[in-house]
Amino acid sequence: MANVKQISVFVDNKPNQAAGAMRLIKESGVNLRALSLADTADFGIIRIIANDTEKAVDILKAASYAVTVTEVVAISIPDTPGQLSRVLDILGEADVNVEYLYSFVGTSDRSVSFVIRVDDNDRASDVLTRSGVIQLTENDIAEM
Amino acid sequence: MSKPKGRSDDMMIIRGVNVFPSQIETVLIEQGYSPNYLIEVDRVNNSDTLDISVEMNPNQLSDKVKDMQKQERALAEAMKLMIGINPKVHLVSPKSIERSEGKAVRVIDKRKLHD
Repeated sequence: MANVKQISVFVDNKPNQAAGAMRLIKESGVNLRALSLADTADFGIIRIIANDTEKAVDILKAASYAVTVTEVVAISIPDTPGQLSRVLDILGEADVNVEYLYSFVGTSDRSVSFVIRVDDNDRASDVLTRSGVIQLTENDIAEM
Repeated sequence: MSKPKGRSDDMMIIRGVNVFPSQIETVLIEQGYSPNYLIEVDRVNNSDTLDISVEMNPNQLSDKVKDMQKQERALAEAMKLMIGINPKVHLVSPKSIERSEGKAVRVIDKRKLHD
């Protein structure tokens, strides 16, 4: 199945917390492809798609950050109106629940990429493939 | 006579209830958290507030915010069962609560400032 690995990092909702994690990643030379930050009053969860997941996880863990890796679906769709709606309809009709999603810049200016966190990756991949939606793999991410 | 709950000189009286830091520590250990915590007691609108910062368990990290908030609520619920009053639990980063040599400062009682 065409899933990609997403790194989640726990940060306190205080000044300089996200900056600290980003500084470590900068120093390691890992390149980020996509990022989203979910926040609460107490803490935030930074979600990252990186070109070298293992290396990013190792350096964050070494600095005592709480880190977890989850598989998510990443897609590339044409940058025209209604494309995301179509994808969400496909998932909805298959009864796949979307927990969250975020967009990122792809390799072409005529396409846009999305990370989609669903409750059933296999089912999502399956219906997206059948509907002709392009899914990105770990290799695609590494080569971006 | 009930089992001793802790040292009487550690005892806090919050909303008229006797609370011992050792009770909080017991809940944390039972629930798989590190026994590093910070208790903040304050008085807002003539009512005592109890805020407990707890280092999150790195093995329990979820990418979903709702899962983490569920952990906060479960911990608050377990503490309420132990101490009898409802605390507000705040998850913080691992190793972010100060360790001190010897007896750690685990309680900040801001109510005294208002008296």
